[in-house]
Amino acid sequence: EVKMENLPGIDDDCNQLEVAEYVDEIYHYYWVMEVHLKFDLMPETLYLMVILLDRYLSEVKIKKNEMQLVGLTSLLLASKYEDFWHPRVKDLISISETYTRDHMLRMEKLMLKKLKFRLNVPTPYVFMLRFLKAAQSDTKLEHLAFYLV
Amino acid sequence: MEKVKDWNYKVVEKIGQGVFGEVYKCLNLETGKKVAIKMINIQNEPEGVPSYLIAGVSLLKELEHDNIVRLLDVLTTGRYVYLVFEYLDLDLGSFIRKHTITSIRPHIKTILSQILVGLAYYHSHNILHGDLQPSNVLIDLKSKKVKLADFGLTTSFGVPHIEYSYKEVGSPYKAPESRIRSSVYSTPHDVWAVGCIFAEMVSGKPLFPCGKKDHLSLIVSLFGKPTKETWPGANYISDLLHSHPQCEPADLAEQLLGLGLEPPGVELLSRMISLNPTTRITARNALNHPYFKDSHSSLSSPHYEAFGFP
Repeated sequence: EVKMENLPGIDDDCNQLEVAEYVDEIYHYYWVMEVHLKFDLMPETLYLMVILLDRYLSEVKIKKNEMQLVGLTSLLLASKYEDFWHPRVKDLISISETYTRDHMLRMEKLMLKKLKFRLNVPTPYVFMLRFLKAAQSDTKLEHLAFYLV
Repeated sequence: MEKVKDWNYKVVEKIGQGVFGEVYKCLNLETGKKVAIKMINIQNEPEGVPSYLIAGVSLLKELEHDNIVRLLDVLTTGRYVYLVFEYLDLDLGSFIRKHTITSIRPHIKTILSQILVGLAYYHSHNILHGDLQPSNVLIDLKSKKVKLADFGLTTSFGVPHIEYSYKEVGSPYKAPESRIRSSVYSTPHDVWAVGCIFAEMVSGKPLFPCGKKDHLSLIVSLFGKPTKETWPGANYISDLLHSHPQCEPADLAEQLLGLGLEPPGVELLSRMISLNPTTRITARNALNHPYFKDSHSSLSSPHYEAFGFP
């Protein structure tokens, strides 16, 4: 049984992403990925962050200047769920230099509310690990697979 | 309690004060149902909503089982997170205190098996309860249902949980391995607690009462002085054990038989409070123990089957 609330809406009316913004999104994605690497987090965290971001964006219209805040807060939430130690709020806001702790904590609560506190969603990463194991893959295939995911 | 938007509850009374905040008995004004609301103060958290709460609530929202207290809703304000749980009138702790052991005896099997069904469900989802004790085993007298409550300390055990010191403090229901440096603590930990609860239902008093003696002395006097063979954990605290005199294990079996527990029950209990966590019985296997075989109680009940035991 697939619960709709866990899936980001792609084609319905609430989807606000137009082409220009979509390009921004891709840049943004690579940017958060870099941040993710810097903090040395679990790979699961990155995938979970993307899902949380997608789910939130498909429900709420946000301003362009909030994009980084939503991205960083998704990372914070994903990391709180996945990692033993999550990056400090102080360090996350220092990356963007435009937001305060208060902004981030308020965004966190807002996102939790919109996401209905449900952060335990399966990520592509988990499935990929399983498939690679089943396929008795070598390193080359693994790298290719994670590049494509 | 501060005002919250979409707040449909009326406070009836304060019913508890936990480590994490206050608990209120409330009335849902829409449905008329009683609920228990746990208030968790997050005002002074510099890192925002604590991660145990995020992980805990995500897990609790997944858990839907007859023998587990349901998390109905989560509300947040600037200062608090409110967890709305279903409300039950009685907990096993007060049930044991208020009744004589002879009047409890006929209910032991039903209660124990429901605790185990709930626990097996927790464990099948890779979740530890972590803090089982009579006060968070709730009883609904009307429907004769037992529900496990208080996820407070529940941890997912995907990552082995390691305790870093020998702790004498803490709940008297905590398993011996959880008090020892560098021992991994997992599902057997909860089964130990169920064993303690089982013994308490039979005898009317805690198996390891807190107070007079420290937990380790109680263990030594119950099991005799543990060795590396009977308890791998003994390795780590050999210096502590050194100060304990050699002694004969107490005859718990005899005492419990005297209190009217059937021999299979004694056998089951001994496997639940096995010192060695690796040989301790699992919640699921405990349910298949002969002790429950002759009971008409929960083994044939619908929620037992719904859980999908073969």
